Amino acid sequence: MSLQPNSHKIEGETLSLEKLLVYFPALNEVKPMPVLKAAATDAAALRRFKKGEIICEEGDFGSTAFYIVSGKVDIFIASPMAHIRTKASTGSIFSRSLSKISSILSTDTDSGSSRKLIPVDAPVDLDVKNPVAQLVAGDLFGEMTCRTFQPRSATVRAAEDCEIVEVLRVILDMLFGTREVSDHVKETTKVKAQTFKGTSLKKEFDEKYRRRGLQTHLSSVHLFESIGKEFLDYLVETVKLETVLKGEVICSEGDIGDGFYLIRNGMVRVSKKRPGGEVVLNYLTRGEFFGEVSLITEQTRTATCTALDTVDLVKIDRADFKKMLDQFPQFQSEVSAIAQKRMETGNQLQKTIQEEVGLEEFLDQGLLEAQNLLIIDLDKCTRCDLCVQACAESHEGASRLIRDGLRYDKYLVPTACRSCKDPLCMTQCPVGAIRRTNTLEIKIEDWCTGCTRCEQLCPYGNITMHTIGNDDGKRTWIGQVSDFITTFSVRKKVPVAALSPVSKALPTPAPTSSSLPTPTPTPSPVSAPTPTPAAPGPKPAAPAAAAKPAVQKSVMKATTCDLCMDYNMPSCVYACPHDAAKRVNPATFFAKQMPSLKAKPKFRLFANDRTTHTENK
Amino acid sequence: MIIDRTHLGWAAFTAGATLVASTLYLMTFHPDVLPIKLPSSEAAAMVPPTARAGSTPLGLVYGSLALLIFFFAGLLGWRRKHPSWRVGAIQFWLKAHVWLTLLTIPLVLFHCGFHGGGFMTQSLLWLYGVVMVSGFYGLALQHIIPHWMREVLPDEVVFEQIPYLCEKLQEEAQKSRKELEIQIEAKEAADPNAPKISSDIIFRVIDQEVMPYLKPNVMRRSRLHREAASDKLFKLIAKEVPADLRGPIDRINDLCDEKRRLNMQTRMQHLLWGWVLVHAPVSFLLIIVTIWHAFVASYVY
Repeated sequence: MSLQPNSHKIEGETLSLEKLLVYFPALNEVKPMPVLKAAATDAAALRRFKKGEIICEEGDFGSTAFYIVSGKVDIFIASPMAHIRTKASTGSIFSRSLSKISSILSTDTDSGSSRKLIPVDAPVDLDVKNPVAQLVAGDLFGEMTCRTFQPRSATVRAAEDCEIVEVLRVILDMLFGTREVSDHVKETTKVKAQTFKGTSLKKEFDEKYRRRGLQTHLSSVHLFESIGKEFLDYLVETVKLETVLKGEVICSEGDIGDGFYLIRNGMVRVSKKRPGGEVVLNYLTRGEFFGEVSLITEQTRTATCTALDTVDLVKIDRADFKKMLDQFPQFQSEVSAIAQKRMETGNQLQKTIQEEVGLEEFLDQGLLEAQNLLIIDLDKCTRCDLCVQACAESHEGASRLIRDGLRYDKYLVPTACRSCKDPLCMTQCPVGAIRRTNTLEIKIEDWCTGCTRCEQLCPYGNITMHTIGNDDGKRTWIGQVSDFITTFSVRKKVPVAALSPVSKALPTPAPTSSSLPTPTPTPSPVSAPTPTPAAPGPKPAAPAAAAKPAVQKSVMKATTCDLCMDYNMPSCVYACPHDAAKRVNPATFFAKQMPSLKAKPKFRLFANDRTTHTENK
Repeated sequence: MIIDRTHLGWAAFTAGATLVASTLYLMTFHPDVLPIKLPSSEAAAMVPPTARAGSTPLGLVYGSLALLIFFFAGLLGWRRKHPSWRVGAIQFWLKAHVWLTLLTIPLVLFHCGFHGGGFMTQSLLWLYGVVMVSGFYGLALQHIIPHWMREVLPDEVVFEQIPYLCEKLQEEAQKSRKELEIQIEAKEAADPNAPKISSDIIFRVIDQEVMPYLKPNVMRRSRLHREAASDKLFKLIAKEVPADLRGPIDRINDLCDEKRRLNMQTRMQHLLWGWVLVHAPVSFLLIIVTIWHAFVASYVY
């Protein structure tokens, strides 16, 4: 059956409105009935999965959510934890060791702020070291994919025979009242778009989350580790659960801080005002928090936070936050350190903005979007290609630089990451693997599922997909000895070839914090697990051959220029013999160069089109 | 590499080292030229000025230094093969390569005492001359060609992609040819009484001249290689077809223009790097012969 204009087909037994009401009785509250009938027609199907069957795979595109009626499912990330390593892959043992030692001696620019949990499109987060969990009857997963058409964030496999209702977005909208109708649609269509206010199910879910999931969620945040259980219990009773619709401002720069926010679901954009527009400081996803700076400094909000899609928030009031600061010194010191770092980042950006003068024409070409631009002086460049070779050599043969792109007078802007002020690439990662470091570079974490979303979003074509993990058996004995030595050096980057796919050893899943009620007509045969992280969860079914397709498929990883963070200078710049390649802040650099540039800037595009950027915005 | 202010340090070092080497040479072999009489000059003046300077201690030092610099200069090729290695920026290596080899000029001249010597020494000097001249020629080209390329080739492409682009040009030309063929047939079918289009000539030109010209190699002898001749040819072809069928022919003409630009880039790239074909092998030969010279000289003398 075809359910939607996007022709996504759901296999299984199509549910009529009557049957659907059995699983979701709250739909009865949707008025008027003809609207409900029209909207619910062909919008859901009951599916039955045998133990070991794959329900959905990470990276797949879809438009449906899944509601578990009975049974259990395993949710995991099948892609191996890996990335294209930043070190020379060729050369003798001497050279490889020398490069390694040099990298160890150099300063690490990213001071290890990697997260411990991978946010996925389900009521649970996955542990980075053990990316697997279990969902039980009453859980809903795939909600974000259904709402935003993001790729699936994880692979889900039936741990036992189970029944699942697969629904289209309209069902979620009716239940949760979260349909957004953009101003453009309102203006351009004569047909009045149907909106839904939501049902009592939303409140019920929130209450369930408060009872079962909130404490787990709070204690899983590193910041709250030092908070005592009694106070967490107190918070569970007092925090507000808020839902913000797409585009709504959660807090504005200059406002008085009234609370601290923890993201339960969705993505938030943090931006700062600047002359001529705003600069995006970061995108925050599930499990991250904001709003602490103004509460600590007793000053107004330093940035504006906007919901990029429907965002569920946990809000801790100002008074309660103050109590936490007073009662828990460790919490105070940690939150102060984070606030200090965030303020420094904002101040650094402000300083950069003040130095930018009179370069309006750059806006049209997106050059002002860049913070750290690779440029090549074409009057000095002898087209020797050493920059590209160095980049490739530094990243296991996968170059992150193409010596072609925009031209500004005598400067070529090659295709390499610009560390944009508004990194659009970060906005739709289903697993939050692409992030900004403390020094504002873009970094892609090892749990990237290779869904290509960031690659498609980058307006400048600066993210590329590479197949990794196929170098097994190709190394010479010298290379293997070198690998052996370097593996035991300070940096613990596991060679791709040594990684075992998830299917080989599925770890014990973390217990779920079920946030959805069990459907009334078919009570779950499995009781919801205890929502304490330490509780031993049930072991998943022995991984069958069913996991293989997901593992074999996930060999792609997104790569982008990380400025060779392990070294003190990007390899492309280091390798240029002619001082032609430079990494610059475009605004300040070109402001200084402007008087010496003879003619009016000539722009040229080879492969990239700025219009894409505008459209994406 | 462009010689600019960043080279001041190296230039000063080279000038200073040359001055020191010259002073020592003059003190040793021509003390009478120096304005100040140094105490050591008396003994040094015992050595006849025309004697084999290379066999004197100072001459040996100069020769050895020059040989060491040759070795270092040769290592640049190795360094370039491993651009990501953190053993000093290649820029530093290249600057050192340029200025230290420049320093070898006084060292070599002082070592040989401004005399050619025997066959081997003369051969060595010739090789050295070729290496130095080709090096300076390359350095001069690096000051001119990149700027010229930027001016002349605003649509410059990645050099390594030119063969691929040529394939694309050929595909485009084939498409246009097919389109033209269909249009001519349709035209003739629609109006059988209209004057016949001499399509044979047009397709012969496309098949026998355009398509081979669009191949990756540069065909200098082709008349399409010269812009004026090419324009003339396409104008003649255009006259053979009605105005409404000239679209594909104009597109093929554009493809030939594009190929000429790619050819020009190829030529410039070859010009920019062609000198290395002389410089690198002769440098290698120079090092080998110099080692042989050092061995023979130390063995014989």
